[in-house]
Order: sequence, then C-alpha cells, then structure tokens
Amino acid sequence: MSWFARIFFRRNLYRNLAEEMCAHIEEKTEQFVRAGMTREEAEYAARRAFGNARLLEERGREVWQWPRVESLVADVKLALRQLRRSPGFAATAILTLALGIGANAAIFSIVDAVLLRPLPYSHPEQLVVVWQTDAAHRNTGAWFDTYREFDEWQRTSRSFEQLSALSWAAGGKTLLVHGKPVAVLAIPASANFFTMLSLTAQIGRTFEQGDLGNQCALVLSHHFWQEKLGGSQEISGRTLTLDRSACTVVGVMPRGFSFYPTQTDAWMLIGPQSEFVKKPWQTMTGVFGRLKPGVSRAAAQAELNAIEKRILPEDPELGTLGVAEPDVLEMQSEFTWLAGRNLRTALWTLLAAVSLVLLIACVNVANLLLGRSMERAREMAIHAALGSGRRRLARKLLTEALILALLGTGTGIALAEALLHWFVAAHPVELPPGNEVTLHWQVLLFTAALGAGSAVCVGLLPAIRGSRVDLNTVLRRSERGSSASAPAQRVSRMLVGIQVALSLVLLAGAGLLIDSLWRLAGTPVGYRTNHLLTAWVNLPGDRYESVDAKNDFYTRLAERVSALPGVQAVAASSNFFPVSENLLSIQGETTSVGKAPSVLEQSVTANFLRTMQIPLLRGRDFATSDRSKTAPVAIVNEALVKAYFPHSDPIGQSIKLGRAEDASEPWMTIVGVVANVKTSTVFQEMGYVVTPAVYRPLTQTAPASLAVIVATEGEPLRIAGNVQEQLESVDPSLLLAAVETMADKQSAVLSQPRFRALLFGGFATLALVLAAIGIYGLLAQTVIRQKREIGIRMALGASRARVMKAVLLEALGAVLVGLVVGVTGAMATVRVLTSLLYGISAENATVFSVSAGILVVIALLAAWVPAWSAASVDPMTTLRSE
Amino acid sequence: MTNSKQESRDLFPGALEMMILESLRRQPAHGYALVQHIQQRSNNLLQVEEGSLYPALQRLLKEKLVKAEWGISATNRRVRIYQITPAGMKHLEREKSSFEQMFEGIALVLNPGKAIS
Repeated sequence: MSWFARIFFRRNLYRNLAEEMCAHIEEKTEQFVRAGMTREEAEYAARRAFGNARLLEERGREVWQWPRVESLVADVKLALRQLRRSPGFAATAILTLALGIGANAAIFSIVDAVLLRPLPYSHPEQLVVVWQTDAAHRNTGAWFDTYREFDEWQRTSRSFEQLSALSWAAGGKTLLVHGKPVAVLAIPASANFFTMLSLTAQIGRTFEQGDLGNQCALVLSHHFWQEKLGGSQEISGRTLTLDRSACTVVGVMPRGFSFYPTQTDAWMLIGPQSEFVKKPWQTMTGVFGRLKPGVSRAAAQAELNAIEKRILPEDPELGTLGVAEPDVLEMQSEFTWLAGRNLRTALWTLLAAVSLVLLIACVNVANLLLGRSMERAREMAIHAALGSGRRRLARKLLTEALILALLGTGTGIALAEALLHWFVAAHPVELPPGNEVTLHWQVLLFTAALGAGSAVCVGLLPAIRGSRVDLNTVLRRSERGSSASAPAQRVSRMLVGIQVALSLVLLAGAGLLIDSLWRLAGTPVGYRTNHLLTAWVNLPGDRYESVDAKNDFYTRLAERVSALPGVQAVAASSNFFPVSENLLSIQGETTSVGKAPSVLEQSVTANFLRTMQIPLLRGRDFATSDRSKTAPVAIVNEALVKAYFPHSDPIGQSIKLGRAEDASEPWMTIVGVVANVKTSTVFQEMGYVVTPAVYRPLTQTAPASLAVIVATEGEPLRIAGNVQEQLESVDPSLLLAAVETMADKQSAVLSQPRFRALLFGGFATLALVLAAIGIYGLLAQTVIRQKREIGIRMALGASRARVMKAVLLEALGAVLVGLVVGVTGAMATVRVLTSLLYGISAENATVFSVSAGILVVIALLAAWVPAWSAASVDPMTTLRSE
Repeated sequence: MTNSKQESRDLFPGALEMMILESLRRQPAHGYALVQHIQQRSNNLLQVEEGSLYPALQRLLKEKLVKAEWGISATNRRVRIYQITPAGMKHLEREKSSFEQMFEGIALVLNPGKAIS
C-alpha cells in the first residue's frame, strides 16, 4: 500500500486494530471464566495480562504514521483547539509576545542598518575618512582639511588606492529650471570620488578626467532628478544653469545611493577653475579614501601627517590650523558619529531596553501559561492516568507555547513592518547614509530566533511543572478548579517579582532620559526662539561681490519685507549663531604662534541682536551709522570679556580677527558687550556650549550667503511665501532657501534625545502594562484558589477590609522583592546612559523613587480588582457549594 | 520513537516479530492464538504483555511480511487471521541465521572454556 493510499485507508486499519484487540481481551476473559473466575475477576485479569491497551493501540497506530510529524500535527491541532477555547488568554499571550517581538525587530532593523551591515559600497572595510583633529577631539574628527593638504596627499601618498575630496563646507546653490530658481545642494567632489566607491551611474556616467576641461560638470542624485527635473531619460549631456554658470549633466546616480550629506541634490566636479584650486589654503574639504589592502589606518595617518608637516610652512595664514593633525577614521563609524554623537550608544541601549521588554513579555506569557497549566492540572492528570507519558504531556504544553510564539512572531513582524513604515515616513531622527532601514533577511532571522527563544522561555517552565503530575493528589482532590499547588504559586510570584524588577530598570532609564530632555529643552538659550522665520539667501558672487553691493541688496529686501503685514522686524547675518572660527588678536598683547586664542565670529545687521532679543549689557548696539567707511567696530559677548578682559573694561579696546600682523584685517574698537547665547556643537549632543564671540556689522564685512530672520506676529511659516515674492521683486533669480522657524531649529537639536526618550518611555509603559497584567493574573489565581478559605475566614468573622488587605499584601510582597532587585539592577545598569543625560546624574535618587512609586501604584491598581473580588466572596455560597 | 525500546524491555528488538513469523510459518493464526502458542512453546518463560503483540503485528503488516484476513476461528469467533507471506519467509530465514550467529557469539563470550574445544 502506498503511503498515499495509507492515509485514506488508515481509518480502516485503525478500526481493524481496535476490533481485534477488543476481541482478544474478550477471548481471554472467556477463558478465565471457563477456568472458574467470576466474570468481573476474569475481565480484570484479562486486562492485566493484556497490558496498557490504550498505549498499545496508540503504538500500533503509530506504525502507520510518520510518527514525529503526525504526532506533532496532532499536538498542534490539539493546541489550536485549546487556544480557541480560551480566546481571551490566547489574544493576551499572542499580543504580548507580538509587542515584544515586533518592537525588537523594529529596533534591530535600525541597529542592523546603521551598525551591523557594512556600508553598501564595495570593500567598505578599506574606506576611511580623513579629518583634522586635535588632542581634545581625538577619534571623533573635528575639521575639514584644506584643499591644499588634500591635493598634496593625493599626489604623493602611497597608502591609498584612491583619495578623493568631497566638501559640504559651502552652502547651497540656486539652479534655474525653466527660468524659475530652485534651491540645490550641489556638493563639490573630486573627479575620482565615485570611482573610489566603485560606483557607476544609473544614467550616463560618473566623473572622468576629461570633465576637468568643462567649466562645470554635474552628477545628479536620483531624488533631485526625479522630483525637480521630472525624471527625463535624456538628462545626460544637458546643460543646467547653476548660480549663473553653465553646468553639463554627465549622469544620474541610482536610487539606492546615498552619501554624506544625505540631502545632496547634485555632485559638482572640482575643476581647475574652482575656488578650491585657486585658493587651496582657504578652502576646506572632507577627504575620503580607499586604503590599499594591507595598509593600516595608523600607517596611512603617519604618512599623511608627514606630508602635511612638509607643506605646512607654505600656509599664508600659518598657524590657523593650530595643533591639528590628520586623523584617519573608519568611514562607517564616522558616518554614525556624524548622524548623531550618541547614536551608537543610543541604538545599543535601545536594543537592550527593548530586549528587556521582550523578556518581560516572555515572563508574562510564561506566567499565564503556568496559571493555565495549574488550572488544567486535572485534565493533565487524566491524560496521564490514561497512559500519556510525561514527555508527551510536556510536549503538548510546549507545542502550545510554540504556537503562541509562532503567532506572536507573525503578528510581531507585521507590527515591526508598520513601525518601520512610520519611522521612514516620519523621519524622527537622522540616520547615517548607506543602508536603508528595512526588514532585511538578517532582521527576519533575528526575529525568528527571538520567536524560538521566547517559545522555549515561555513554555519550558509550565511544561516541566505541568507534566510533573502527581496523579494521586490531583485526582483525589474533590474541589474543581482549585488544583493550583502552592509551589507553582510560588514560582508564579517569583515571575511577577522578576517582571517588576525588569520594569523598574526600564522605568528608571526612561525617567532619566525624559528628565534630561526636559532639562535640555527647558534650558534658556539666551535668544528668541518663537515667532521667528529663518531662511538663507545665496548671493551669487559675480553680481554681489563687494560688501556694499550685498548691503544694498539687503537694504532693499528689508524695506519690502518689513512693509509686509504681520512682520515686526527683519534682520540678517552671516549665520544664525556665531559659528565661524577665527583667531583673536588684542592690541597691545602679543601671542606666540600656534597659541593664538580662537573665537567665533558673526557679522550682523544693526538690528539683529535686538531682533534676536540678545540683551545688551554694556556700551552700545550697532547702529545704521556704522557703515563700511566708518570706523570698524565690534561687539563681544560676556564669555569673551571673562576670558580676555577679566580685569579691564573691554569697551574702547581694539581687537582684530586674525593675526595681529595681518594687514588685510582691520583693528576694531569694542563698542558693546552682549549676553552669551548657548549653542549646540557637533562634538556634544547632550548640552550647550558658550564660546567667546565677536559680532561685527554686516556693513563692514559681508558673507556670500545671508541668513535672514523675520520676526512675525503670527505663525512665521505663513508669511514665507510673501517673503519669497518680495525677494523675487528685488532679484528674480534669487531664492529663499532652507525656510523654517527658529523653533524648528531648536527642535532639531532635540531630535535624537527626543527620539530616545520617546522610545524608552514607550518601552517603560509597555513594561508597566505587562507587569500590571502579571500581578493581576497572579492575584486572580490566588483568589480563586483560596475562595473557600476566604469564605471560611469571613464566616468566622474576618472583615472585608481584612480580606482585601491580605490579598493586597500578597501582591505587595512580590512587588517589593521585585523593587529591591530592580533598584539594585538599575543602579548597576543605568550608568550606560550617562552620555545620553543632561543635567542629571544616572544615580538620581528622585528618578528611582518616583519609578518605584509608579510601580507600587500600578501594582496596587492591578491588585485592586482581584482583592475586591476576594472581599466580595459570599461565605454562604462558597461554603454551600462544597 | 521510543516505543520499540519500551515494549521489548525483556526481549531484544525484533525478537517478538521473529517468534510471530516462526509461529505463522507453521500455521496461520489470529492474535490470541499466536500469544497462546508463543507462551506454550516458551514454557511460559517469556513474560510478554499480550497486547504488545499487536504493534508488532502492525509492523509486520506494514512491511508486508504477513497478511491478514477476517475469518472465523475454531471457537467460532470473528477473528483476524494472519498468514506469513513469501517475503516474510525470507525475512525469517535471514533473521534466524543472524540471530543464531549472535547467540553463538554471546555464548562463546559467556562460556570461554567451550570456545577452545
């Protein structure tokens, strides 16, 4: 009989087997009767001689089955039936696991894309970044290199297969599309940039040496080509007008390609006519390289350092770079650092936190299953009595856990998919370029492992306990539904304690992060952040070359914008904050080379400080009378006074930005002192810095790009369109770029800490809910088990209050033990959060006690319902039902 | 599965099958008669649970070493009568010779003196 036919005839086979076994026992019985036994005795003897009929019949049937598969199928069927019979339990368990697994899969996808999967370029392990760094910023990178250094390195170093330049030091450009200006972030890159990454274009090609003969060559990013240029296939070879110069498009990169900065619209070839080549010591660029196989980063760094030392004496502004040296860093980790100073720590911490959530979820489901196996102890005992082996019983329970885990994993993956969808769409936090965050196969593998792990963790304990059935005690016990044994209850209590402990760790972590976020967001920064529109206007150098030309343009723009309804004031500056670094020279003081103090500078219009509400402390503010021909003046901040004029009056002193002997820079008289503003820096995410700063009038020094601020009465973004119209009426080729509000800027600074606090808070909430379910489940079982006892106690005069107290105390016992363990554990682990905190130490007692308090309250709330139901036990009904 | 190990606690695997085949070689029989026959022939030395015959019979049926048909027994009952097949005969011969070899081997080890003679 073929295996196929067997499946259909098996029913017949089984019937035959059952029938002949019956007949056998019958025949034996008759024989015993003939030998003189009573019918009853004979039957008993026949059965004894035959053995365990049920088991033997099962064995007989198994001959016809594929034993493993089929008994598994049977177990699965049985488990599904059991679960369907208690949908509430099944839904709770599956949802609990799904939340844990889904959250893990989602976080792991991010960790995988950012930290685990190598960058999607060929041989990414050879790729490096070269920054300038000093002792204070070791291994983080601090500044771009000068183009001169890059050029010399590229020509003479032997450590690299390719060394290329890519710079985002310069601002955006304006592209004319059908006569309309479009903002474009065109990033200058050296000819070999794409070949260094071993990348080819999707349309056309990447840069070639031949392009250096062109005035300007462009490679477009996929998104820019699609969104701004309509995705036309005939793009390559076309000429685009970028800041009034004609650029040839040589190709378009594929969709998946991204590099720093991720918003790049186009890459612009650094040709012989570019500023980089003309002023190599004044232009800054990032340097990216591919090491030759076998060359270490340290060796490459030593070589670059030697080359740099050799050419440094050529530097016309010798010493600007101070003590900086080249630092060769691994590209992927540097990308991660650029995306967020604490991104690496944060991601690992979040993964740890979310795995705690899964652990809590597993403990919870294990506890639910344990409770269920206690309820079903009688059923199990009957199975055992009918000949099911212990292994088989354990397998039944494990199968149930496995099915729950399987369904939980499935639901969890769907959940993770939804979470990632949200993550990509909402873009709550910046991630480095390279890999996309998706449910990659590695993530699915990880999720499957989590599912399997949780099945074991969830099912093992109940399976061991559930299969250890003591037939006598269970079957003899008369009461129904009260077979929960005391030791099982003890395990259950222990599990609740574990849940509480884990929840406390998460709660304390979330508390610390949320508190830090509040402190960070609540720190007064020293300037106005509300009702301020901010935007950039890029002034092409060919038409706006002189300081006066720029100021004329600005005056005309300011006149028109100020006249708009709802506008309170308009001001402009070289940037929104003092950011560009320069040397400070003080008249009458000499400084040695390389030790010149460094300050930040910002050139501002006369009303800028007023509009930003930066208070003037001494002296006077800039005035419209400060013009290009009048005496050079400056305003300094408190920090500068404290650092350089601690004992003298700064007003009236002369300072210079640059070296004292540099004749091209004027001596400026300090006319005023303003309060400090707190700014964020690239080196530190959780915190602000206050740096000595010099403000100069925009009329005396003007940048190529203007940072424009507009103070409004209402919502700032509502007037953005009007401001653009006014700009076009002044110069139709200009564009208002990067339009946002000051509040947005402020909020962007908080995006990483906010993201972390949000996720941690979410995990902690989840943990609390699960802990509450756990406590509720434990007590509900206790109350059911002790119903009779409670009834007796109440009949003997115990008050409701006392009964409730007893139940609540039991909950509190488990919770308190959990709290003690949790506080100890949290104390030991929250220290990893230190770099993610602001203004609060990891061992903050308030956060710990509040977390513990929240847990106690939640525990009592969860315990209230079972306690109430215990107190509502009617002694008469309970005792009568016995 | 662990079934064969468990049920032949006092027999080695395949022993019961061999005895069934040997009995059937002499004459076709139903389950009850087979048990009686085996117990008598072994002078009741083998303590076999009567029921354990049935899984063994199922295995033999599956391997097509025996075939079964419903019939009427000597005591006028509806019983399932088993018959050995030619494949069963061959199998029995093979098993018997290998069993004898094994038995001889064991005997030699247990009684080393005899081995020399």
